[in-house]
Amino acid sequence: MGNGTEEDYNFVFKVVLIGESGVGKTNLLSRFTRNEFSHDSRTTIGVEFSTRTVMLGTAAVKAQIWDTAGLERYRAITSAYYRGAVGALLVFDLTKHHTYAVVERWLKELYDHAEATIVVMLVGNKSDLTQAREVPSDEARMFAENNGLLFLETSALDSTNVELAFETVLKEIFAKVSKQRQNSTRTNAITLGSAQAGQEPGPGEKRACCISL
Amino acid sequence: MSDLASPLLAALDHEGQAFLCFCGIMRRLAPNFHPDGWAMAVKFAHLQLLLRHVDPDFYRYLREAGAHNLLFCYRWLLLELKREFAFEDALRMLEVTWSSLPPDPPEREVELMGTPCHGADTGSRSCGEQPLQQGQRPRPAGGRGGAFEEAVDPLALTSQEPGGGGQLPGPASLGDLQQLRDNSRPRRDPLAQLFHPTVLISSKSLSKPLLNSSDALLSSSLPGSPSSSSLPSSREASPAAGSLLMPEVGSPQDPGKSLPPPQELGQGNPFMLFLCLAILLEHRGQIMRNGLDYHEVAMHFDRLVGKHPLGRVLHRAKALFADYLQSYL
Repeated sequence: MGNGTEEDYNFVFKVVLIGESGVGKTNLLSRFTRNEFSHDSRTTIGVEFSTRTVMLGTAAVKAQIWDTAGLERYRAITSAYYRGAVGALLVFDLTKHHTYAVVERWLKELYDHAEATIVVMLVGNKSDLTQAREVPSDEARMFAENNGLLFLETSALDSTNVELAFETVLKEIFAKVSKQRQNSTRTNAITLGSAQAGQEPGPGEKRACCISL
Repeated sequence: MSDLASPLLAALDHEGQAFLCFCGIMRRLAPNFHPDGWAMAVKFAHLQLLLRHVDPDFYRYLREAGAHNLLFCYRWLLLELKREFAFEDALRMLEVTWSSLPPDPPEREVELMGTPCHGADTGSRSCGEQPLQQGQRPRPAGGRGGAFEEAVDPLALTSQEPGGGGQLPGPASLGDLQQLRDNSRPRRDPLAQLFHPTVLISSKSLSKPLLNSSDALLSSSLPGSPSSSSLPSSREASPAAGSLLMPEVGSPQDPGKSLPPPQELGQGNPFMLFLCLAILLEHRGQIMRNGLDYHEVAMHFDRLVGKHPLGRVLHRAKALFADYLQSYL
């Protein structure tokens, strides 16, 4: 997976980062999009976003990643921005069990506001803090399997699996979109990139002007 | 809330003084952080009203894009725009904004109160709430006048208008206000205390027009707001409210005046709303020209964090504010 240029892309995938406050969502994002980590990052308020364009095979995919506030009081604001997301990273802090215990509630909230076909990965962050682990890998992996989620453990601090986590989600979305496109071209003669006004563009296919296939 | 403390610490370079000022600011802004969301809902409603009033075309555009709830302005309103400017600019912006607020000096001296803050989490809460319970009244940073004197003057004139929507608590009326507050304090419930700063700033404020207009507005334009339904009851539940809610003659209900009066607009900080408005208008051309949608509008402004040109925004906000104040003369 290489980097493409910012303005030259074939797909835009909207991905949301959700989970309790303080689990490291903002640092996962900054590690992925800017290769940065901040020890004293401030609380996210409402939503912030960042993008990175990556190559999946020959397709340039622009990941538009929305970083949401984990604090309860911002929930009404953040959930308003789940709309249109085709991927989600549901992050917990594997050194704080209570951030894992509420994962199910986050999942419900996500499905309440986003499309049912959304690709979701459960992410246990802070894997560098091996001594402080409170959530066993197997338990989280089992939960993910039972709920049809992808699963990885990451460390935004030492970069472990950060790239892989986003890459896996994007690939999964890409596979879904490609399959959908094949189906639509088989059954229908609509040419690619011809989204018309009033017609809901397929996931990832943001709008005609963004498609250069 | 550290966003609000850091400029004070930077400007004062003294933890004790910064803490006192922070407590003073939180007396006014604690409701922003209240879980019921009431204060934020009112601010959203006021900003929507302002935008609709000043630029109906842009408002219509945003409505069609589904972005007229202005949710992307949440952080702006919560932190009085502190994060939207580069730090040095934020210092100046806050100084200008806060110096436009009516003076709110302590009765005799600044009382130190409350237990010391232990731990970041509980500390931030107690700093915001304990001062209210014990009646501390530290003065916000920045005195009256200065860079903002021009804009404040029309506001002062408004207060002299007979029955014109309540007086601003300038030095002359401070004694009356003090009495008003002292009389009403023992009867306040905790919620009313949270809103105490607003009461002071708007003198005979929290008036019916606010309740009426915001209630109607909130229920119509913020249907999803968790607090909208609880708004009237929570306000009316305050026993002190009755004694303070004096119907104002003239001002807010005049047909030509569709906006809340200065002492209500923005819940004690009207100019901050005009800064928000100025920022929105700075980008209305680009947003409409490029046909940005709901998400793109939010992203557009997110990209501008720390990059807004303060001079332009201040200039524009002042002009808009002056126009608005003129309409209340």
